Amino acid sequence: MTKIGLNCRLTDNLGQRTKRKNNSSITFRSGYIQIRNTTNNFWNVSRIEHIRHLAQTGRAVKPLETPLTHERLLDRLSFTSFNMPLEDCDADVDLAVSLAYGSIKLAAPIYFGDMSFGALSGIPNIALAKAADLTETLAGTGEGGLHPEVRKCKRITVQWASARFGVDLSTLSAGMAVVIKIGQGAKPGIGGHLPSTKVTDIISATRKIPVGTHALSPAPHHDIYSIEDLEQRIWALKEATGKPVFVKVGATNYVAYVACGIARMGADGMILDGFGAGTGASPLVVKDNVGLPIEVALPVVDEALRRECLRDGFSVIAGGRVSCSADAAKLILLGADAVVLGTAALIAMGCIACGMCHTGKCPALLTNAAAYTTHETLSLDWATSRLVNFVKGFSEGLKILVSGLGFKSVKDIVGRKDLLKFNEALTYSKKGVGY
Amino acid sequence: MELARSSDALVTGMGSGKLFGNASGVTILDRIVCDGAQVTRPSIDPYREPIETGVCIGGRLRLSAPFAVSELWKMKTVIKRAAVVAAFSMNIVAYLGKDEVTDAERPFLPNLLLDYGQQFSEHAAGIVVNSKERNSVRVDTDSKTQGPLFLIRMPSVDDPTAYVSSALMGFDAIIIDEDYDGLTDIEIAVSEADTALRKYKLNGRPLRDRVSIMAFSSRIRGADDVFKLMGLGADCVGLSQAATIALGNVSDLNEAVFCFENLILSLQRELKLLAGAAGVSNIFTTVVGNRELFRCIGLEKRIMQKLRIKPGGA
Repeated sequence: MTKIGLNCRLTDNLGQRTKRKNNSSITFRSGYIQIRNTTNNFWNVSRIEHIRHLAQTGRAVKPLETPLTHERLLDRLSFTSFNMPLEDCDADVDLAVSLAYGSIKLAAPIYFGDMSFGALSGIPNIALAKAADLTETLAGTGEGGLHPEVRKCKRITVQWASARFGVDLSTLSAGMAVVIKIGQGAKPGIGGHLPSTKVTDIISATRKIPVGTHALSPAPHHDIYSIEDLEQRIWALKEATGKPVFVKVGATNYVAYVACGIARMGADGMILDGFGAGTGASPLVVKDNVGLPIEVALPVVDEALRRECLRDGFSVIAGGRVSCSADAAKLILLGADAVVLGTAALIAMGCIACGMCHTGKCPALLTNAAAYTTHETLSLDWATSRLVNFVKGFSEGLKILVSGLGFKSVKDIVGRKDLLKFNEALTYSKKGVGY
Repeated sequence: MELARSSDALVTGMGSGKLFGNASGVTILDRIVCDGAQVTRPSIDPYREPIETGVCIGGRLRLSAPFAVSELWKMKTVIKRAAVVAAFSMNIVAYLGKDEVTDAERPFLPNLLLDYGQQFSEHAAGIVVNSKERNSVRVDTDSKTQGPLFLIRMPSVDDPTAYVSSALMGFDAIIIDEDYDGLTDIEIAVSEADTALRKYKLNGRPLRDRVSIMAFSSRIRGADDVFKLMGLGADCVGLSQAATIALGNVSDLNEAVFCFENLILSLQRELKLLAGAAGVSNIFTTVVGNRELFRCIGLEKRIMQKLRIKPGGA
């Protein structure tokens, strides 16, 4: 269990978090809550410490030596031609990528995952959007309308999800792109869920639903029952906003066909979300059992798109458990143009992976109900600076990996599956239940 | 345990912590993932649209959900009695085994499975013949349209010919019980039995059409396991240890019944969530034996062939 008190608070932008209990005050220099263990098997202490280190220093740490466990298929993939010593790796690598047939340019292949205002408490939403502006990346804003401060930021995408919460033309036109959310990695086939405890006055105003009711988005879009329907929505949104349109889908059994349909029907890109991706609230049974890991679905999608000659210019943004630059590099080699940082970004802002997002009582003040923030708030400057640092450190790690593979630009390694090898030594366990 | 208290599906935050690695206690079921329907095969909203969870065993026993409560003889008296009442009120079945039917339990006979030769068994939902005593029992195949079902309880084995021969003897349903000295994993036994019974044609129709498969194991932990076992070919899945754990230290009968009913209701809701995500509106007609809804992550080829489930990405 996590050994933390629930009455921690952040004070100012010096990055100090003070814990007040029995008049004793403990200050952590880093501004992070100390953790010894997490309830989540994947987001373990070493992964969190790694992200925190990046977020504090802004420098890469041992990009080749992470990941630290070998539980995922992705962790068992290693680079074939990495023969340069790390210190010789030239950090002068071009990470810039362009998405959506060249209409969006990113300084690094990073997309902050779609997290709604409501799921997050406001300040983290602003921090994500600001960090995206500062680092010239892109931030998703999730379903449910825009926070007024987020609306001021440029590098955001606006989501058009199944419940249409907070959707109007001015909102849809506020970002660089529109995202049609069909599914998400944590619960493909199930709609978004904002628990009643988190629907406070301010959320009720942005989502236009009564206070204290569950905001349960419909599972399907009731006006998208076919690829033809999807085409109509894509072009309607393009006509209305003049912005590129992305389609976000979860990684499922037939996702390659869905991807081809999305590309064929005129979308500018897709966001592919794999098993284990983050969520504010989701039925446990669905989260643990539905969907494919991103490393399984992504190469299939990439291959299908190439076979159909649909890959050029079309963007594939892949997410779901991206925790370090090595994960990102591998996903890019498997066919992604950019990667999604969702939970990793939250960890950079102090998340301790306790899995309490649905209660609205986040100990790290990230996912707490928006009204609770009147007396305890996350420091916006602190959160933004951590995120910017994290992106810097993450990008530096990616640069080292790209140059170590012998390339000068990250664009050149997209889809180069031949540069990866599967570590057979970690195959089948004794029982026959293994990789 | 929370399911028993709340009667609703458990909702939590954050991404899944589940890994498909080699950690101890990872079963075959853990390495099977379900499908999520998208776009051309739209998902069904489990909160707003109807999803049918009812199943039919042996052609005439209709249950509201594909659950059975097994191994009642291993449970505490209060939980056992609660299971009998809850099975009746929620319209699922409970397998009483060799235990005597008390007077208090007599009204609930339509939802009880009893061992062969027990008192009142002619009024029960089904009569279970244990495969080790099969030779001493004569199955009356003439009374197939009414009266209690005849079921045979067999251990889980690799070789499905035993299941085929039982089906040919005229039993209405086969209970594959891993805890009845089972030799292989329940997943493999169920899948092999389903495959063999579908292959075997009798009068031009698959034998599987006339015989139901029930899977009993103490390893079944929740709705996800039930859903996956149904995908492998079970019509109904038995819970035992899961119920005992969920009820914990309940000592009052009324409270136990309440908890048991809640448990079944919430498992049913979780089942609906999984079905809705996969775009399935009727579990019995669409999920049972439908391996296309599932994919394996990190399973050995030999096991994949037996389960007939494709690897992820295929």
